Amino acid sequence: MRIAILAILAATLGLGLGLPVVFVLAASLHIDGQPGLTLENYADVLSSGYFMGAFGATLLFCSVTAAAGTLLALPCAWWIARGRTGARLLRVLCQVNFAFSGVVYGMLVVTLLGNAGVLALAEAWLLGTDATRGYVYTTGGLAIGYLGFQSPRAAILIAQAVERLDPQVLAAARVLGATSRQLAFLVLLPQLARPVAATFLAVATMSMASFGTALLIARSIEIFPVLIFREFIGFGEIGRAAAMGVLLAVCCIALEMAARRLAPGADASVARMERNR
Amino acid sequence: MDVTLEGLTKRFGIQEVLRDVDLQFIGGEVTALLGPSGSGKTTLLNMIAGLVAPSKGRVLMGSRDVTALPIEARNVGYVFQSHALFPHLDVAGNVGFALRVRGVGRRERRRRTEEMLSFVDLPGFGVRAIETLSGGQRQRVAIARALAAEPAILLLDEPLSALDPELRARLRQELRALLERLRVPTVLVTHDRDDAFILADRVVLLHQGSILQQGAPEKVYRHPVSEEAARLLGAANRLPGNKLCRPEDLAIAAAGEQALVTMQVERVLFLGAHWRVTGRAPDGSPIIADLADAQGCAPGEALRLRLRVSPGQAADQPRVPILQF
Amino acid sequence: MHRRTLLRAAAVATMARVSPAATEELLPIYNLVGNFMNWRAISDAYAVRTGIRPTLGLRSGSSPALVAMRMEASQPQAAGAYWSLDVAVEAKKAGVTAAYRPKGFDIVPEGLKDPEGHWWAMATTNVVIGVNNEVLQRRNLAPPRSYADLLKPEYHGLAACMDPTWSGTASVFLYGINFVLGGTRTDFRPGMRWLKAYAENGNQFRSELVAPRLATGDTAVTLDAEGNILLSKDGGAPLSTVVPTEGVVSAALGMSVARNGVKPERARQFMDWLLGPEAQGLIAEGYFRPVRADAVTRRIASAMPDVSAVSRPALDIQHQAEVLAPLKRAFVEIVTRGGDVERVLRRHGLAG
Repeated sequence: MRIAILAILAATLGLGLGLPVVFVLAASLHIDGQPGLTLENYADVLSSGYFMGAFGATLLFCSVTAAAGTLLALPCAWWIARGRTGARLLRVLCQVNFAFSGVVYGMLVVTLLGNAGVLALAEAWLLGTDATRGYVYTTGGLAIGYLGFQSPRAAILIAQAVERLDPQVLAAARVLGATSRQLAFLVLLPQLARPVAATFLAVATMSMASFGTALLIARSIEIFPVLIFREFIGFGEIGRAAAMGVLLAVCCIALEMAARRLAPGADASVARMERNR
Repeated sequence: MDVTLEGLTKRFGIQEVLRDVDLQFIGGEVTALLGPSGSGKTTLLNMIAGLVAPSKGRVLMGSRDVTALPIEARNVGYVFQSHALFPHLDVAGNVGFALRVRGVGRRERRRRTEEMLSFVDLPGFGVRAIETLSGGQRQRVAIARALAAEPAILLLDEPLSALDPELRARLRQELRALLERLRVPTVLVTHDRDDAFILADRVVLLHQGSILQQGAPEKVYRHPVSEEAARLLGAANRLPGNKLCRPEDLAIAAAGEQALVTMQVERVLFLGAHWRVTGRAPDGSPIIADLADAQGCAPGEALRLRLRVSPGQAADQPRVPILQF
Repeated sequence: MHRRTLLRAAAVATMARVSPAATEELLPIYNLVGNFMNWRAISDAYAVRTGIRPTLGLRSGSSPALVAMRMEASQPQAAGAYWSLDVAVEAKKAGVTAAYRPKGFDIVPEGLKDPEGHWWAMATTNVVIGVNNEVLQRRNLAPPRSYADLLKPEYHGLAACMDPTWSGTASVFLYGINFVLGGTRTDFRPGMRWLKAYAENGNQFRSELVAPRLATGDTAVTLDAEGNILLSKDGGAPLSTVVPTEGVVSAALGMSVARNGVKPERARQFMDWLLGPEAQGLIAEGYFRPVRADAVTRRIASAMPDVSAVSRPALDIQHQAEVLAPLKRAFVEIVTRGGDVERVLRRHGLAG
């Protein structure tokens, strides 16, 4: 039975993930019309100030927004984890957020902050000005769009970490005389430091790979996945687009591995404690 | 300073968990709250700490009514069943925590932490990480942490319950030695009779939310006020004439001696220190007898039993059974 | 037995009603976008006539269609494609097209077809200014009348057109605007300067179809194929077209048959029909200009914008195909990244 499951898993992963990865790798090592393997695509991309600049800008943008998104998610995560009023609804809202694809999400944000968006119409109606018109196409607007899908995911991840906290430890702190503020800063946040850092990295990774939203509303920043799309579709540079894709994937994998090291699963920490009992 | 509980009552919904409890804990005395699960003993402990608010009644420290005080203002020391040490702080960080939240300076904190660690026999353990400690060491750190800010009272919730019997027996002795040295009142909650007897100066029997009896361990064991109380502290045999006695009060009646009861033996177990013979009395009620020597009695046989004579007592003066109705 | 056949018949009948497509044969053609150039009506008409359904929405966009065909070169999945002709030239160079001269090939003007039949035009369209009258009225603005108008402060941020690296129509505009504004085949500075000034005036290049945005009022002004604007106007939106005074860029759109493509016989029949009066009439109803001039009814003709009075540079499709890749790169550098027009174009050899 076990062998059957493993076989199905291997086949699914192989076809769904392995094959495309191999294909992209192969494409990145070819130049159209030239036989044989070459690293020229990688050389092109890595030596180009344009592409590397965009990569760096995307990384910076995603890191900053992921950090902000993680911090913003803290109160929400606490609320969900402690099961306060409406916690279940809040959790469902956060989870539903995942269901939207990037482009749909971008359209959602355009509806709110675009030229004829809710915000612009409200401002025109209330104040008669149009300062917020087209805000969604600025860096700030893009950041808000990104925060919109980063925060709910961060909230869910952090809520899981909060739920794993030992309530007796928190009670102990209070019995020892800690006020709510001291409890938060001396006990809660230090314990949450690693999970929060891991969440930040997970959210940053997700943002790096995010494409649809950027395609729709990014104007002031060159978002790397959009560049890949442009190379592939707009210029037909399949090899170069593939090389860029590989670089992006390597970056995301590195971020994900860092996240794993920071916050190993609950089982790992329990195992450690058992060993020392 | 003494801690007094007046008329403490706690209701969860329609269920009354504690009913009108009056108790006083005096400095230097160790009190065990003993009772089966559901008797309300942990709730009582938590009410002293402020983790649970009473439905009725007062908690007084000295002459001060602290019932309305929040947890962080009460100054109690609490050792949780799971120890609840802070995983992100080292031993010194844990022990000094209460001082830190009170704004005590670093030097004074360090001095006091070392003092507490010496008190619990863990000198120099300050830099150790919590994960590297054994169960017993963790408990001592938990106690040191609870005592660091000189609380008015020390509370322990099932301090030995999570341990295996071997470790438990050893730690019990160590804990006893530690608690003896304290000058604050100590209250511990347990469902284990041996814990209560060894650790406590005074045992309070709790059953279904009320106090059945309180007193020194021997007194409560030998002179229970009711059959319930008796059975909470150990096995008890019903004798003809509505009397109760403990298993160790019985001895085998020799051929010429008068037998108090003749039991039908069902099982004979060797427990190291003595033999335990279980069976039934003629009226069908179960009998448990702890005998020094089973003299080859086997299941299925009839065994004649009398009350054991304690040393120094005249042979014809039977010992008074522990309870008479 | 009787009941089973009855049930089966009922199922087939229901399916035929619910999804007529289930009983049609599919003909995979890339880049037939339903609401572009009236393709939905054209596809429906062909399906009704022959029972063969040309696929809608497969690989939308000229560039995506080309990339797909290049990647599928060893095992083609399409029968043919519809695209902007400069992309068709690229396609022939990439070797993904087959030579076929359909019936009616002679109707197609010279210069708008490949002599061997690798591609040919079905229709042309002009890129004009589209305006949303309501939005402009609310701002007390008159519609812009020229490309120069779009650079003026009163129209700051009001215009959006499609991104040339994403849309075929927009990439033709990227090429053609240069000639309208006085540039030559070796000097693309006038066009680039205008595009840069357009962007600096707060106007946008979008990676989506702008016609729907104009219709909802999200954008007040667009530069788009006249057909898209007029179709939205037919749908009830308060739109008008304006022919810019400096001149218009025309784009030619047409078909190619895929090399070693699927269903070659069906593909050829479809291509033949597309140059016939019925299909060309439907194209005109989509407000595009069919190559078969007599397929345009008087009603349609009067609704089309009048471009006879303004300059309309001739389209050199071969040259366009040659120059488009470096031109797009230059566009990205100059407009998206704020590069200097002179320096960037000189580097690409397009500065005269």
